[in-house]
Amino acid sequence: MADNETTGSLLQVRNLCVDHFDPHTGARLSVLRGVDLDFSPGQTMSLVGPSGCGKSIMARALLGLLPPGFNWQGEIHWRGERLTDPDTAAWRQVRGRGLGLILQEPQASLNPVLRVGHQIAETLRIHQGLDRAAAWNEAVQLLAETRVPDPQLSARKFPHQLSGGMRQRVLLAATLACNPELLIADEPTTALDVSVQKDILALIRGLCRDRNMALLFITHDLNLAPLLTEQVAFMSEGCIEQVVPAAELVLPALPRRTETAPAEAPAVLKATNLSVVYPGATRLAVAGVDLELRPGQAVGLLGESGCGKTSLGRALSQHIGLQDGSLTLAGEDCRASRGAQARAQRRRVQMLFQDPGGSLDPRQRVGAALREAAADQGPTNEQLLSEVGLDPALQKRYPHQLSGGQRQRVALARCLATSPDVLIADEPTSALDAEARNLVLSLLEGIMRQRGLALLLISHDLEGLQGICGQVNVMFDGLVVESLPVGTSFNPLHPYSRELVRALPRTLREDPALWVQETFLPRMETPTSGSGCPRQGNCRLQKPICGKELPPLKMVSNNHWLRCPEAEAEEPSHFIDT
Amino acid sequence: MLPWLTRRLAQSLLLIFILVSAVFFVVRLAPGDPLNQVVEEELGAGDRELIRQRLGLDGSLIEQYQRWLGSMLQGDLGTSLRQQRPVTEIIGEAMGPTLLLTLTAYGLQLILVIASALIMATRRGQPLDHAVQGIGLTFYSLPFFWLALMFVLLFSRQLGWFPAGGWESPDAAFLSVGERWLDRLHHLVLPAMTLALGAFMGPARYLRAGLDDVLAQDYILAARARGLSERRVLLRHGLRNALMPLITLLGMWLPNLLGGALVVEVVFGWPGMGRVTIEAIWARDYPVIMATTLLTGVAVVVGSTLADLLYRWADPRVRIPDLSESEGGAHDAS
Repeated sequence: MADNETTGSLLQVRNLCVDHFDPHTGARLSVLRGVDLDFSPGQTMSLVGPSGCGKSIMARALLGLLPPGFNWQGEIHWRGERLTDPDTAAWRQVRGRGLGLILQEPQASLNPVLRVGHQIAETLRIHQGLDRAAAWNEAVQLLAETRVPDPQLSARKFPHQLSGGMRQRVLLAATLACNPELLIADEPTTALDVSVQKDILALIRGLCRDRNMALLFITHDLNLAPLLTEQVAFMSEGCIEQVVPAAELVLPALPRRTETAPAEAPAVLKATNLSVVYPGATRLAVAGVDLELRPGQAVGLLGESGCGKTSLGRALSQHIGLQDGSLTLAGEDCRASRGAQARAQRRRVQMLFQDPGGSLDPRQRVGAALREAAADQGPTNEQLLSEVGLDPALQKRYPHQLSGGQRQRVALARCLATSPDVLIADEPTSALDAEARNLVLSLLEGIMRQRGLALLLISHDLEGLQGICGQVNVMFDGLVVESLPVGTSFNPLHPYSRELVRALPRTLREDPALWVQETFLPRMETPTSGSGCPRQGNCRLQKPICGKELPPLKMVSNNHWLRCPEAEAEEPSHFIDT
Repeated sequence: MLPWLTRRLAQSLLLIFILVSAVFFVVRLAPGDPLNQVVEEELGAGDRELIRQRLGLDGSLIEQYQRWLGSMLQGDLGTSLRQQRPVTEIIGEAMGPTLLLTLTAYGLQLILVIASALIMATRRGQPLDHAVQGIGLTFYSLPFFWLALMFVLLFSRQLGWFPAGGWESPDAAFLSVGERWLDRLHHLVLPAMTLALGAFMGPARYLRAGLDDVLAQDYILAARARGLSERRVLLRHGLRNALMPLITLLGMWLPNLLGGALVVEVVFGWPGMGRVTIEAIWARDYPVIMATTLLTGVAVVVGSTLADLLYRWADPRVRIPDLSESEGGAHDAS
């Protein structure tokens, strides 16, 4: 036993099987089929697999927190001691002091009605027996360790007052309050922007090193695995198939664009100086954007949360009103149209949303959803479903009986049911795992070419955009800061675009030096003055002029537009060669 | 906070004014002359006019309305036609027994609601869950008057444990203060039990659905993963969040607290607001009907205002503006 304390195994799992009772079919479904796993102190391992393969259930089984209706068998040993009953104090001790868990959705993982400091202090009081004042001070210390700015003040905030990245740091601090020896991070950055993801991953990596904490990093994104862990375990259908050293890992090739953009066609949807402001808001959500979408071509819109890319998509599809600017669809002025004409125009511009679980009515069968959208003369359900590569028999199913990827393809089929001219896809792949993501992207590209659709692909995923789009617009704070062609390479000049590229997992792996400092300041510290460049105060090229006036979008080379006079002279960096 | 509060209170006052006017016109525009309730048909025209003036029933409708508003502002609710006493006096006498009954009953009900919801949410599908639901739904589906009669039959007639009616014994005037209150509590048991048991299952099922929702949230999983005890997870993280939708429901209880329990008060002969209302309706005692209607209406307005205030206090997301919108960080959930 004493031997185990220092050198021996931390966690030993033998033949772990989990099944659960399916109330629809009455059958027992196997989720995990004999998993073996060993962790020694400080060991780091990634667990990679498609959604539904049992990754998260395994994490919950280790913690003894399986959802109701799930049963497990097998052996779980913690420090040589066998854990049997999840309800016993012994297993709760392990949860409190041995194993820590952080989850995917930082907004959902914190109690909304308690100050974040209390949620950390609560754990300290219970597990370390500190009194109120001492626990609070220690909570502030932990917030400082997870690099939350102004920890004294932040501890007094409620979760909804913090950004997603900050919430994830708070959750990490609350988990560290247990002083865990093995941290289980279940997709901790899937819901975050790439720049925030990079900082959180760097933080987790640093904490594991400083505290000699073992790490089980669960992800569906193979690119992230080698950044954090020494080993990568591949999981599929409830089994761990192989474990390889991360250094030997070969990452899948980037998607390649197969052909160059066709000759210039007239724009089908054209927006000029488009602006959107929400009632009661002081800032413009979209602050004067020019955009042209042409048949058979895809334009990318790259940006992080809150940059206005979703608002722009909704304004283009006429689901929110415009503050200023003009919008024409095949020459018709959209702002002037009312009633039946406006509804007809809406049918021609369809939107594909991020979360197919939310955009499909849970009580409507697939077939009914498609029929409702299709015109009388429109395509049949069978045609629509086979166009998106689904079995027509699926039209009898309800959305919850489909996988995430299938749901998104049904949502796509519903968009196509109105035979639109324009498709606006708003983060269509960010809720999907890698396999489903690639499928949906290639489907989008094929349908775009076949139907001659004009496609606007809104995403924070640069690599996804690169595979389809001829031109990519980078958006920040309601403005397009750079618009550049994607050919054989992607060479942005704007400092913000470059930071986005630098935060990509692929770039980070190639150049570990980029991990060293956090390039992005937390945005709550960004000074906001009414005029000037929105990046001022957060930019390495800053000059006094940046605070005075907003630079215009200027053409610097063929089809390459840039809103930063300082960056014009910079050398192209060839960050990503495709 | 303050501008919000001012706006909310101004809204409430406006609502109460509209309510006062509506009550006046609805009752006065109803067919029938209220004077006929107090005087004999064959009374001479001169005497009729005299009494009409004394009761404030003379002049045009607008003049009557102005007088009614004026006296309302001075806290004068008029004189009961039947009892020839100020309405405020009648309501003042009934309010004490009503508050004693309704506060006890609703306090008891709240305890039953929380306890049974916790049992149903944590013992889902187990015998205890079925037992609580079975008992609760049986009481819930029985009408109050029948439940009241059964309680009287069982606990009063058969077992003789509690008195069958009234709110104190006939000899109460001869008892000391302490004994007198004990006597009242003794009388209180059956009506309070009827009210609490007959109604708790509705809000309890509502709360259980809320608990089910909350307990499936990630922050509950995260709290358990930090090794917090099940009791703490349930009460501090689960119940606190699940209780919030119940606040709106509590606001709607206030009118019942002041308005009394019509059926139960009548069955048990409890001298409260409910009985006053029923008797006034039988006797077409307009001033009393108007006063009790008004009181219930004002209670609705005040109750919902209080519920809003309480909700803001309990839910920081409403109280403190959301800053994360402008900060960014997580993807817009579209």
